[in-house]
Amino acid sequence: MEYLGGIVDYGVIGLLVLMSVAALAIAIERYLTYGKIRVERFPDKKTLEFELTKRLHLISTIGSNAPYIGLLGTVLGIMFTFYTMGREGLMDTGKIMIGLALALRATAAGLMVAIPSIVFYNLLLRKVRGIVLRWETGHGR
Amino acid sequence: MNAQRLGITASLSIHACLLSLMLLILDDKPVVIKTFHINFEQQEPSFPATRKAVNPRDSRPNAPVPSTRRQNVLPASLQQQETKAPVMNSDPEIPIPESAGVKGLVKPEVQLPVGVGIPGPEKQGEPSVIDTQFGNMGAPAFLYREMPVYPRAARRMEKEGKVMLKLLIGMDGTLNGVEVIKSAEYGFTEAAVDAVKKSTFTPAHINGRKVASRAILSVRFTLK
Repeated sequence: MEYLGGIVDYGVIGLLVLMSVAALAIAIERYLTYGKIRVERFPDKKTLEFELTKRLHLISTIGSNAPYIGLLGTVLGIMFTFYTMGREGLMDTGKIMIGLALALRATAAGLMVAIPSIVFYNLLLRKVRGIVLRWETGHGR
Repeated sequence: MNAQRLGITASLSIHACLLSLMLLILDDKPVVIKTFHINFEQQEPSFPATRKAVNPRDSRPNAPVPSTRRQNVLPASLQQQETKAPVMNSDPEIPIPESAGVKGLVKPEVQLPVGVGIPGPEKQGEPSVIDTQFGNMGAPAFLYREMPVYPRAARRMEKEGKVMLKLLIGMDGTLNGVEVIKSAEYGFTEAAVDAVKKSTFTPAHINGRKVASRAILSVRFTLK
């Protein structure tokens, strides 16, 4: 069970950092693409929608899963803390508290990844909707 | 492609900035918590509630030393000393005759001053680890025992009392902590704790290795 501590620290938080980087990268790229897109080049609506929503689902997945991954890290950290405390037979509350606090930072990291991701996702969705409507008005629908 | 690469690099740089900021701000040294690492190899026996004079398992035909294995209930007045180690400079021990093998040691209360009837702290709670060789298995013991001072108020009011302390004794014999399990009024608890703090100890041994331990000490104040 000793490796649980390492898993929480490097595994979970590292994964969250990766996800955050990916989400932000996709969001920036999509935003730039939406700025440059020319709606008249698309003959029909479905192709336009397909092109617009290309990587949005990734942002959505990251945004909705990051809290769970953070929670998983917290649960593992708490398990590890209690296991260690139980095995040593110590009831030193200070050490327990610090272990728990450090375990909770995984949840905090998960939330910090999720909140901007959801914001970006909603903003991008709104932009997609705007572009599709622009196409619709341009094509007289 | 251009937008993608731009996005990735922008994201990476932003995250690098944020992470370094966070590390700078939140970086405090890990708090060093002083914990007492106590081996749980010593079990706590139940407290002597009744006077049970017979503990038949104590008899060991070849052992010239008092064997106090498996004692659950220790008679309150019998001084059970579980090590052969020279315990207290002032307490002579009477070893158990082999045939009888049932009584613990009886310490004559020679050193106690008149009027202060403390029958000596009884060292219960020291290793009732089972089935270890007697010579090896050591209990923490007093190296120098400071006798508690009978509180004046209690003596005036002719009160007696009993205090039970749990001593956390480290590997080098230092007293790491004192916990009061059962306290008494009229200053008995403070007197007992003060005396214990002024005493020095030898640590417990398991197989010759010094271990930290928790020992229960019962100090009874009686008036003679």
